[in-house]
Amino acid sequence: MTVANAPRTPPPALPLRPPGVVMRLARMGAFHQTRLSFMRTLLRRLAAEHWSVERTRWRIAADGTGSAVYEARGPHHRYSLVCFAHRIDPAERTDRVIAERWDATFALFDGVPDEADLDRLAANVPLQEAGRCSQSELVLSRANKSVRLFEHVLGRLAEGRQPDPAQIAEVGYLMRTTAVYGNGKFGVADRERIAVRPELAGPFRAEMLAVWLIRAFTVDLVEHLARARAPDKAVAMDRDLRRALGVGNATGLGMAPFLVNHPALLHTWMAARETALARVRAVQRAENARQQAFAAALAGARQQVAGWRTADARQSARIERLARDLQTLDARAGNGYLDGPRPWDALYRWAESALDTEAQELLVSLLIEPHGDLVDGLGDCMSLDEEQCFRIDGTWPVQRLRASIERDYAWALAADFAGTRNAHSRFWYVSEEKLEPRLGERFDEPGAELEQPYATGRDVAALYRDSAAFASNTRLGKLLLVFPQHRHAARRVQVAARFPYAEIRDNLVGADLVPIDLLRCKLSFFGATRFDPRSDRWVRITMFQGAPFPDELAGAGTDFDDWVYPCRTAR
Amino acid sequence: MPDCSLNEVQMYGLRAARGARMPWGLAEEAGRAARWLCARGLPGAEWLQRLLARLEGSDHAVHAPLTAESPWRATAAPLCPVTCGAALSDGIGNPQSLRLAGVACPALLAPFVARVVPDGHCLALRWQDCELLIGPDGLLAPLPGLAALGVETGDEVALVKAPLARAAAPLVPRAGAVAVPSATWQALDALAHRTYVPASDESRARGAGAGALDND
Repeated sequence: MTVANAPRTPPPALPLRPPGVVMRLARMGAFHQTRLSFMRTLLRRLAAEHWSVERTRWRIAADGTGSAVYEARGPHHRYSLVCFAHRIDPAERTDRVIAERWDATFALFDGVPDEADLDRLAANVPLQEAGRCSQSELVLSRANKSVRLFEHVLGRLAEGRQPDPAQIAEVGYLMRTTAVYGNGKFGVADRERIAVRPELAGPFRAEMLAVWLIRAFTVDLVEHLARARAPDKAVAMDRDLRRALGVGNATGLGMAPFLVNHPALLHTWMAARETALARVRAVQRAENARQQAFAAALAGARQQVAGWRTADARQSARIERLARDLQTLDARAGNGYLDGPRPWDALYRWAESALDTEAQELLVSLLIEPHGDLVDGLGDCMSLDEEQCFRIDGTWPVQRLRASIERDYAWALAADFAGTRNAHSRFWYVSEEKLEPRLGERFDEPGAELEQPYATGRDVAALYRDSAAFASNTRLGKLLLVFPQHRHAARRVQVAARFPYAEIRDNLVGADLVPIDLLRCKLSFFGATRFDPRSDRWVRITMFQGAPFPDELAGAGTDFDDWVYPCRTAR
Repeated sequence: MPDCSLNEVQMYGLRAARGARMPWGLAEEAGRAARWLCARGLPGAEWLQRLLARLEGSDHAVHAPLTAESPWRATAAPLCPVTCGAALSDGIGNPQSLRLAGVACPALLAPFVARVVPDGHCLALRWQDCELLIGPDGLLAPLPGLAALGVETGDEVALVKAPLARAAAPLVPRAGAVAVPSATWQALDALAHRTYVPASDESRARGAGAGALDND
């Protein structure tokens, strides 16, 4: 290693928030996007490396069906989003994974597809799960229109007018994806194939790239159809208005087990975010420019919260409280408060008792926002080789196992899984119909014997109970010979011992589980906004709302990364 | 012969092993082992499927090794290579001198042996007229023929320390499609199906959490 490549001394940081505080679902379910979210790190990289995007194919008929290709060119690789637009019966348009037809289907192709590739993709991509992809494809996805907004925008553009900004704000997207598959699913490339490429080394980068290109396609499609309808009158969308369009996404329980199945990876995400916060809290003085940037982000966030719509009663109440809390925060942070010593830490500590969890976690995002120089490097620390965490260390004495469980799973040992039905009234299973994770009622529905291993607390507590029968110096390997059914739990305990933010410290099969908390956490790391629960188990979100389009990447300039908070983008 | 991703091999291996009544933690090992072999160009999915076909239907515990004995043997034949491999990986037994009797699909031991190779040496895994050399960086070329590798049962399996051959090069794992025979895939899929819960109208409505209209 040359001196130039030697790691810099990391910026000073206060102690990180403990896992017992952070790894609770009520908190994780209140996370908001940050500048470390994957959409933002992706676009920063694309801009820094001067990526260009060209629409190299556009064969969309006047009826809106056909195909298109967007080619993204970076310094070392090219990726092509191959799009297929379809006509479907309105009755077939469902966001649920049971759907078999969609308004549009997509594949992110590794490189530049030739005609034979396109023929193969045309025969398979529209079928999604029922088709077959190859290792040349990195992502498989599909999307449905927001019929209401799509028709409004189409009608207006065809009349030579701009769409109504209020209606755009109300919905936020022309199409919403209903699944974005990567990492080997349905035959697409394994992550190993791309993980060595810097632009795709971070988690979900290929998926985020695909969605960003899908967004460009949705706008091109509506403009194309407007021109087809009224060739002489139709206009293109105003750029500021266009920015307000993201890509919607409907996500259900299929996503929920990811955080449970990837504990070490989850740790890296959480640790990066917590380290970012701790670095900002360690800052001794807040310069004027930082204070102004914080104030601008806060103003933007308040505007965003004011426009955050959901029909969900629980989330509505939280948004109302959040709006009030942000007003309180605004008042607190003014009048020279930030001129004192360690101002960000003071603000955070005040918020811990003064604000609700939603606002506390939004404050985390806002504190991180003006400190890109201190935190952006952490974006490179949000993945790891999970194979290195798989092997169990069978030499652990039982004593060490028990101490580890007592430290990291006290919450599980305190629960009464045997005596209280509510402590395990749910079970996770894979549905035969769609091969997707589902949540069942253990005492009302059949299938509990086919439970997936997501009852983390219950299972670790059982391991702890059975470990009591062994002498304290017995090795774990011996215990697992006698109790092979505890192997999964033992692995989790060892991962949690190495990675403090690996385990969600809540009962995932209890009657009071709110599954969308799991989704919200993961989606916030993606960079999603406008979290809109449609029930306790599926949500709609918006992705890339406010972000530059491919043709704006080059000219985005220094305020390129300021797109998340709307009052900055609606210039 | 569908081309599968390594992730699919691992996922279906896991689900099929679970469908064959392996405990979760061992089923995870089984899926990983199949993937490890496939990434090195070996028919890991076929071997795992053949193993599971022999194990399914019986209590998995009877195929676990009695490790206090030498050679390791099962209460009821055959001995499960995944369970033996996991034990070896957990530090049970001496990897530099170990004997096992009646191991089903013994090549499935290789991914586990690779975890316990002592520094500066390699381990030789032998059965019948077959020898696999495994060094600190994994499986060493050249490999024996597939027929010898893919035997149904390793009657007398031995694991011994061997000098690290200078000329031997480790097989580099590759990412890419794996050709899995259709019959193998169907058999794995059939076992995996045993882990799925059939839908009822009630679970359809509740389990996925639909309710609100999504056609706007």
